[in-house]
Amino acid sequence: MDNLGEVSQATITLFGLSITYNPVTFLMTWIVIAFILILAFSARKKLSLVPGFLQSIFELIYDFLKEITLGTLGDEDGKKHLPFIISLFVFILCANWIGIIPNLFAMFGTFLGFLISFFDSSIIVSFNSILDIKLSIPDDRWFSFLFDIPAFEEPTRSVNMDLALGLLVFAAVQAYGVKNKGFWGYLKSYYNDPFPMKGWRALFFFLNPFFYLNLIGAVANVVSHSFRLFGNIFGGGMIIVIVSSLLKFFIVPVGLFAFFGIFAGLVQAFVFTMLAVTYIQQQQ
Amino acid sequence: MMVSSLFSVIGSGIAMGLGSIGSAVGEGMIAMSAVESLGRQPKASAKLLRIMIIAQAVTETAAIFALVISLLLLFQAGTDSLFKGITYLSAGIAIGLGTIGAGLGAGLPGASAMKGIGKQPRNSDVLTVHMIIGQAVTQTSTIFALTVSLILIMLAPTGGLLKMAACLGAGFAMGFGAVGPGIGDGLVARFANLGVARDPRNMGLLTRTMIIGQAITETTDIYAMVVSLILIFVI
Repeated sequence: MDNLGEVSQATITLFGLSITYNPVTFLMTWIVIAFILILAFSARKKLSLVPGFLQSIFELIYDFLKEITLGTLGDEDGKKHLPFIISLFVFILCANWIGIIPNLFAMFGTFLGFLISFFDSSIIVSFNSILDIKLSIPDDRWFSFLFDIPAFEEPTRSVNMDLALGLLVFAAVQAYGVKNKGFWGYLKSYYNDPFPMKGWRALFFFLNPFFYLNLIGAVANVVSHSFRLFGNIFGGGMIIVIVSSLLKFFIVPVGLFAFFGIFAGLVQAFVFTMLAVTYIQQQQ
Repeated sequence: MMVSSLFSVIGSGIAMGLGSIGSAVGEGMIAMSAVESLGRQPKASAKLLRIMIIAQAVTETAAIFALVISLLLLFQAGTDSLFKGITYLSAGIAIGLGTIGAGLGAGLPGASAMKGIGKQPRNSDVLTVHMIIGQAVTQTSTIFALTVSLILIMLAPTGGLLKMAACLGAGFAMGFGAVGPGIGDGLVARFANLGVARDPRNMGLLTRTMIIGQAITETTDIYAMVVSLILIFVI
């Protein structure tokens, strides 16, 4: 309970620069990517006219998002952006849902350590009551790394991941805006003031206060877009941890997992994707 | 006694107490409209119940943010620094006041979506999508409040009396600044939703205009955030 707001950190040195990163987010992101790839390839293996279980799930997601995206962006632009939108949705959904599996590695490590403690005297099991079993494992045992992973956390619970996703959408939207409107047209969209600048006066766009106002607005969009996801997932995870620890981890609050893990995860993935679609729509 | 714990428990109470006002009223409005629509269209009860729960869950986000900050403040390890205590108190004030507008505002589009489904149960899918977009954008103000609160909690204790007053001012600036834009955004989303309910074919146009209108409504909220960040980091 004391390490509630803490994040795990690791430092590597690369070309003389020391880079600090969060190993849990890093590992969990790769697990999510591997999970999606395995699902997608196994669904692609046997495509049929009568869809199987996996194929129907993917078709459900595709049809649902296709209808909304094409309805919002129009047929031509919608088809161009559909792969990006669907990848965004599937990745965030899997990333939000992977937190439902609670602390799998630590549970596995505890079980393994408990078994090995019968043969190995260096592992000490202190047994106070049925709810209070503690294992002390020396660092040189091969399975001790399983305890270093604090929880099976959602990668989206880390603010870095959410900001990265927000910046990804921001970059895609701005690049599309430049491509669609041309560079001057894109720049002009930053001052919607009552005195439109024409001709050579457009060169002095930086004197216009509306330009800076809209620039701040564009950056604030990234903040709200990514912190919306972060706040919801982080808050849900924290409420689950606190309620579980108030119940001494004896009863797993299934209802909270269902609400914050499954339901809020789905809604937030959908909200993030839909806002990306509407940001793209504004650049049309 | 640790000085910072003293203020952090007060901040925790303020955050949760004020933070539950807006969301509760907003969720009540959604349920009210759902019940009203149910009286008109008893056949659409399954649809209404499902979408009512989605709308209420999204409206609840504001209160959940307040709960998170409240719990964070409750479990903070105390230090013997008055500055840290003041930042905890300001974080509670920022999120507590900052959730009122967004909670109320997110209730308004939900209520109008319920009304629209009661009139035309066929349009429920389109309306749900539009309602969720409207509610999500309405919550921007409370997300800014959450950001400022988290920054205040993580802030390292350095500075004198002026800096403490600046942090308290930042909490009030963000908190009060987020009340108006939340309700304003909710009003925009409410009438956009009514427009979609009338004719779903206009959805693209309505969403675009709604987002631009809400972005301009949120300008004052961005001012509040900029001022509170200046108060925290520059002064």
